Amino acid sequence: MEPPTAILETPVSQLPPPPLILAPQPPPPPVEPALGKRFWSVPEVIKIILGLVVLFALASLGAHHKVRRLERKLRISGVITAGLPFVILGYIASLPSVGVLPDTVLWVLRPVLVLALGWIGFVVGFRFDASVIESIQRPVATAGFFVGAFTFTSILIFCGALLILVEPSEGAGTFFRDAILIASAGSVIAHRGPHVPVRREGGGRADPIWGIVHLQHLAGIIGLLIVAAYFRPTDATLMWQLPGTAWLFITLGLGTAIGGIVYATLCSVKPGPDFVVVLLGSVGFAAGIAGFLRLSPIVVCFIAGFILANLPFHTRALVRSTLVRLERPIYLIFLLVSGSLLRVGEWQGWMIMLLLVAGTILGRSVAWEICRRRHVFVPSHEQKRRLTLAPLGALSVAVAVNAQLLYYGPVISWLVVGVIGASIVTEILVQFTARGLLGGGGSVAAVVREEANEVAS
Amino acid sequence: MRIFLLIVFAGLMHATRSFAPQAGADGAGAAGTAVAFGYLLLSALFAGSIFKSFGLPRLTGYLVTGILAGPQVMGLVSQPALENLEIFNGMAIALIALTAGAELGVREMKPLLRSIFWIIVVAILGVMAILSVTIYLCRDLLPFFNGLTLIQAIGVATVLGVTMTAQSPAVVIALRSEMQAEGPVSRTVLGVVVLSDLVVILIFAVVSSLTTTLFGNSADALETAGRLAWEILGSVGAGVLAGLLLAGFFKHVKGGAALFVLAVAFVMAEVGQRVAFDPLIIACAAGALVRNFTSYGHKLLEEIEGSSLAVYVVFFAVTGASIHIDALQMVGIPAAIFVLVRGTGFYGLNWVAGTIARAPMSIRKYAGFGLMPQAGLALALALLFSRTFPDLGVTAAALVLGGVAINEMVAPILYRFALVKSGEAGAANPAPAPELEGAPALATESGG
Repeated sequence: MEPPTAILETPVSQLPPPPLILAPQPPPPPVEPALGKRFWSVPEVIKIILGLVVLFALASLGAHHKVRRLERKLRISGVITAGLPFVILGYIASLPSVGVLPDTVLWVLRPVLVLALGWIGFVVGFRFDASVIESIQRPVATAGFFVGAFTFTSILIFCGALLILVEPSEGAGTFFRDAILIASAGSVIAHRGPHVPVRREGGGRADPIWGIVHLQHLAGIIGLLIVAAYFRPTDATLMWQLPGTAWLFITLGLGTAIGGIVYATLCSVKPGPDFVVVLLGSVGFAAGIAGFLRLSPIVVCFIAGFILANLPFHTRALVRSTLVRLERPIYLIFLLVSGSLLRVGEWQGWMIMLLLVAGTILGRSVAWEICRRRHVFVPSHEQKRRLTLAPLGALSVAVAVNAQLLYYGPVISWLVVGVIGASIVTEILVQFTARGLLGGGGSVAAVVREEANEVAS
Repeated sequence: MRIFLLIVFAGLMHATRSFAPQAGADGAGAAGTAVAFGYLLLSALFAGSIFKSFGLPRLTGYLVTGILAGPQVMGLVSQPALENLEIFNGMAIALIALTAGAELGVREMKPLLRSIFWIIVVAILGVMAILSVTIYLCRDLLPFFNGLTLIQAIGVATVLGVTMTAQSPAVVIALRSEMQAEGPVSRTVLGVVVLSDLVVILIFAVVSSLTTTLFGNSADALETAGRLAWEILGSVGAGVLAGLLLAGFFKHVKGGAALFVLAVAFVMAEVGQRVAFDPLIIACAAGALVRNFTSYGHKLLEEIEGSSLAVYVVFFAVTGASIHIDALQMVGIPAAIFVLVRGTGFYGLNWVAGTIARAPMSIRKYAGFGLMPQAGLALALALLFSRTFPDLGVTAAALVLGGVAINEMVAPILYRFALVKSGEAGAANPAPAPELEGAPALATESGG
């Protein structure tokens, strides 16, 4: 018998009120939570614990290789097969009648979310190794820039217009912050699905489509970097009061420094059981410091991952496989959390979803047209269609969750509905298009067959 | 390089905390927990490897890291973050007890049962008696004895004696795993500490109930018996269920077992304690069932080894950070006396028990060291003591906490020495292990 753990018995009254979001509220708190009682009863705690274990176990099963094989076989990617059920599960778990993921439990789970955001950022940053950067030719980079810029701008305009109409007046800063957050989340293209070709290790020059997908990830990260640096949270827990540009450089410097420290740390450990623990500790440390300074854990860990990926060390493959192995369960946990944060009754979220879809399609279409006129890289017709309708990525969901941790405001809660909804809609659209093209026996069918063969092998 | 990295981690941690001095209470609380988790994981792991290079247990490195980083010394890890990280405690205890149960193979333990029985009867019960007498004799050094009648003083001394006898299966199993130890000494110590855990709980319940009546409170014997029956029999029943669940999973599901074991450990720890079961008994029963009634005992051990390092490291670091250094200032001298008496008692009476049981010489010489580590159970009983006797409990609990603090630092080193001298260190895995290997690793199969 050891001393009992009492974390879940923390008096609810001592927790800051989190009615819709996970971020601390600005003083004075605008909403007083109607929590009803001070402590969870024993049956409630047991229900929550068992429910959380079941949900997390499902998240790990959702990342099982058999599920992934099924996804490939059915030619659909994560959002619909594994993702959508988790969003629904998260929503159901948050219902008062179920009570497994109420706001107070989410509040207790925030450290896990900080760690998970850091992990996602680290994974994305680690993908930007020298070979990827070198494989992006100038025309592809230009095309990627156009796609990112026009998508970002069109979402900014569409959603900005909506925010002007519906957002409570909290000043221009809040308006721009929310608009850039939505645009950042909407700019990211999923790195799996029918719109991207199968990637082979050591298979020569990478497909240009990969370059464009990577650049869109970079656009999302930059958007988040700017928002976290220039639109500081309004709660007064931080002692340093600095201009936005200073925070920008602090973010870059912190990420770089942590990247160097993680590098030195990993170099001092031989491959073996300790390696994973060191990696977990490094990401936790980096994400925690970022969160402590109210910066984005995704961005800081992205920079650290990027630095690490481009330094010479012999355990690179081990780091990559370890990072990727946990990426998907973390993504599914994000979807669970997002599902529990969904406020389906708020029409503004659904409007953001529609505008996100419209903005991405319009922005990408305009970008391809500009590319064609300026004679930079233009993909084939099929590739173009698939890329135009490409679903939002896991990083988009992570951006939405990160926004929940950093900021307070109604738009932040609408963002979840918008991003999740847009992910599903774009996923369905791209699947629909791919299957329509399959009838003609086009190259999509070949890609799908190729993926299936790769998975089978 | 490792020392340099430790300094860098500490410097970054200090800088981070200085950026947001108010962060512990609200906004950055979540980040504070995450950064404390990362910091303790990295620092404790590196400190453990440095300690190992000096011939000391890695576990002591984890504990020292926790003590230094904790709120009472450098304050790098805040109290709220520490409380949040206590969620690892229950899970670590359950994993450790699962390991203990899975190691308790009846066939392998049969030749040692005689030794285990006599060590429990002579050494454990004998140390309880010796400690009780010593505490009574030293009552002038302990201010909370002032004003007590003779019979009350005897009662309180007995309850404290029982409390201070408690051992630490967690430390014993972690050290056994770290040292890759295998042989009669480590097996006997394992059996004794697990079973004596039950003995101490039972005797504490009975003695504290009787002592309560000496203070004019009524004690319902039937209620106490019912509570104990619920705790022990209910825990065994829950353990059997958990064991069946684990065996069923191993039989029918390929892959992902590490995460499942972690989930079961979490449920055993968190749900168990909330329905007044003992997570240690639940997990131990589950492990013993899997070991003795199915063919998946080794599989269970492999999965635990493959999934528990991070949990262990954080658990021991948090335990170190929670040590009440201030308690030593209050009751340092008597605590040191009792630690000395306890240790000497365990060593001497273990020798006597071994002689009675005609145990091998290695058990007589070295098993006593394995009885000395002390941690969670003593802390829990101290807490219970302070609740049962609120008038004198705070100072008396400080005495127990002081003893635990000394034992946590010294006893693992002594037990490591015993395992090395008995020749059992490394016997479980004769192959030479790389520098930072030899301990369980975190599971990552969950990703599929």
